[in-house]
Amino acid sequence: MTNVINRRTMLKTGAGAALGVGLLGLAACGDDGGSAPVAAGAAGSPKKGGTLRWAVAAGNATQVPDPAKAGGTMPLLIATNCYDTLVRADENYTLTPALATEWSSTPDALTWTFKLRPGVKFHDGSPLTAQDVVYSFKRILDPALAAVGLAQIGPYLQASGIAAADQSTVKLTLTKANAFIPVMVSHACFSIVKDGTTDFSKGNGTGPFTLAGFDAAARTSLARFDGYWQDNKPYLDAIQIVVIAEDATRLQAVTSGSQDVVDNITGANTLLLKGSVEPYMLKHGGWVGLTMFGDTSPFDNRKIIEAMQYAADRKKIMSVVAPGIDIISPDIPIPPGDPFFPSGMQPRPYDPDRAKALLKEAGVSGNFTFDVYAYEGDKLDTAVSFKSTAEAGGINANVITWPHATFFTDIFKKKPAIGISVARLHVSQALPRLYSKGGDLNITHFSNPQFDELVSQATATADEAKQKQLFSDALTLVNDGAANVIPGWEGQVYGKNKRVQGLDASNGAHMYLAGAHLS
Amino acid sequence: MTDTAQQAGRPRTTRAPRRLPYLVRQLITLLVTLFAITIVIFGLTAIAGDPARDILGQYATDEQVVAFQHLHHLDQPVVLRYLEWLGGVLRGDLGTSYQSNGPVWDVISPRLGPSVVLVLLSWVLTVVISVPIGLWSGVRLRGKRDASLTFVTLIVAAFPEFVLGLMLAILLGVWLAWLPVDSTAVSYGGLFDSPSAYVLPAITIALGTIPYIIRLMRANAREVASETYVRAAVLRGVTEPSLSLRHILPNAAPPVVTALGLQFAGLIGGVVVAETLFGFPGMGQLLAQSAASRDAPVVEALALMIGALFVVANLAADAIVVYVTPKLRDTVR
Repeated sequence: MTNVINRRTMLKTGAGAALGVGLLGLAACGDDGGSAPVAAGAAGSPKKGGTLRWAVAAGNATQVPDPAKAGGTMPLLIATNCYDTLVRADENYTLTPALATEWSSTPDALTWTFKLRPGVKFHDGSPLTAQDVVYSFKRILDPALAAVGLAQIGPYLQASGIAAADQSTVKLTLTKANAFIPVMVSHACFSIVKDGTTDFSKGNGTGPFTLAGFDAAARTSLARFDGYWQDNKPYLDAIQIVVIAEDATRLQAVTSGSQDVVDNITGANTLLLKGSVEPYMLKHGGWVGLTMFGDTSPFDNRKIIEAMQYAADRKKIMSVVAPGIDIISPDIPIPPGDPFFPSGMQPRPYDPDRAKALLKEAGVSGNFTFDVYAYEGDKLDTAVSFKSTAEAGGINANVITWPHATFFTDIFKKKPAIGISVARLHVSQALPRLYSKGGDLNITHFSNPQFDELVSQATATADEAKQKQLFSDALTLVNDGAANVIPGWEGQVYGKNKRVQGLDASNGAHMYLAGAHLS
Repeated sequence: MTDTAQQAGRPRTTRAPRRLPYLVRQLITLLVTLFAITIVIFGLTAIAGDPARDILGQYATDEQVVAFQHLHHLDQPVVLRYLEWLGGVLRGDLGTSYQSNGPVWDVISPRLGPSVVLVLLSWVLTVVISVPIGLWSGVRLRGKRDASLTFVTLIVAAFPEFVLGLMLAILLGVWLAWLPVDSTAVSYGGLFDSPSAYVLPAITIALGTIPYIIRLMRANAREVASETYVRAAVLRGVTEPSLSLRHILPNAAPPVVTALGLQFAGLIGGVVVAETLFGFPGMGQLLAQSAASRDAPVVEALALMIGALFVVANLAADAIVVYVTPKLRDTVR
């Protein structure tokens, strides 16, 4: 039982409370995913029928399958496939209509109107109405529920601002302008549930599959919903989801054919996916890095942070942390290739001499030594590989391995320097949460009124060119001023049998299986 | 009169103090041990810290954390929480799972059956494989063949269970494709619908114990075989298999029975490893998952059940040893 909790699982799919915490929140309602899958589904007319056998690394049957609280792999798969969101976003945040056929806002981005799709049915046969949407959003805003989406929508919406204009129109009146509400509500944790639902064990949603089984015996079965609103979909009759925590067993399960798809293939294991199986890769799963309190000595000295940034051999670090992905990054939490990535921004080169010079300017005599905390997995890999490349730059990172069980209670937000990995977030969420004053994940203690102003302007404007410019300026401030080293991005790799086609990652990189089929 | 009565009475009590019957003494030991186990279990989960933030997530507001702590009584002193928990356990209430918010028993009960079947299966495998081999090698094997067997048992014993399990999975599951690599099929259908899914984890668990029992059985059988009464039996014309089964086995068995009793509970450790390794939906997997997700009430309940099983199995082994060893029957009264 080497890896009950696996590294990549944790953030990527947010293994529930297992790892716990914040980043989970991020993972859960954050956004994952990235470039196009390596093995895209083949075209052709999909065959109907069959049972898809799916094994996940992290699952916890004691979690409740309530989509608003979906924080782990299993609940997220259920939320994505048994429920629908108003808007669907793919892993690159391209929006398509789902339960809402159209949506619009007033020019000030303060009032949003969603027009619901006619003829949509819940699994129990009842029609979807605006009241269901109102109920679903009001639930999420109730602090007692501890919904995953509360941290995102809470700053913009109050229960009184949610109203059904008529049977098929929902109006959200915001307290603060936000032009990115559709992206936000495309995440599975904003799934629409039936008005008045309190028991989620039966999973009465509008999604392509019904929840046929979810119990403490580790049995999660999804069954085809014949009344799904998309013609012909879903293709599969059923999906059986099981938990295989051990990496090697999961790999063998897919290669030997006892499972059709397994998640969380790590490192060199990807190379073993050959013959009847192949990898399905989502790049840009999340970023890894070191974060420091930028207002605490010695990290309040910008020259020291810059020395660390130049002393990081990004290529080398990422070849250890995410072999085969090879995406290095400037010190910002947005991946290259994202529409909001500042054009022309380059990662700082590996320059140990410059790092040494910067340390000297900062008044450090000899080597600069600091403690950095991390727990097992990609975070520790990042910290350790940073340490080995930064030594040449006169930086001695004293890496302290901390048990993950108490990391978020004793270390996170308490010790100035930590190794971290954070799931991809849309720029409209990443910047306010990670760097704004009062952001719930501002672990670099970044404080810059000009940045806050840029972000709030960019969030409030509906003009895309303006958004891009404002976010670009804000990201430049982060790259030049935030106390973090972000060497690059790690991905998420699935192993799948070649006969499995039509996999489709949605916002947050949770698989949406309405189009999946067995060839 | 009274003096003589006292004089007559006193020496009697000092000479032969009344002892409680064996069974009662054992029961008291059992209860005291169980009580100690509850303190250790609760203490360990308590010092692991407040799980509220880990359960609710970092984005949870302070009000949510306070509400969670209040709901699960985490805002009370640890001693009070322990007594409350202990009281619940005594009434058969194992508490409320932090994750599901439902009774712990509802989380554990569906996993009980498969795990019990798995443990019994591995235990039976251990007995039927190691006792005959140990007996045979102790009585019959000498020289190089004996040394090779010792070597093999040492090698197997040296491998951790998860390595053995993986090797078995590759051999029997991938190369020969006789058995499913993972045991997740147990989740679906009834308890005995997927018999093949039990085999790999059962062998893996049993292999953790088999070398030890073989060696113990072999050593005891060899010792007994050199006893004069065995030689006397041989001279009387007793032949195999009667010699081994009727003369050597009963006399060599007691330490092995004790060990098998202890190992029965010890198998649980292997169960946690094997269930996690093979994705077997049992109590061991649940224990690993619950520990990882900081669902303390579930962990406490499982640890208590395993502790109780250990103590009971130990006592049962003692009782069996007494039963099969005539000379002990009188001394333990």
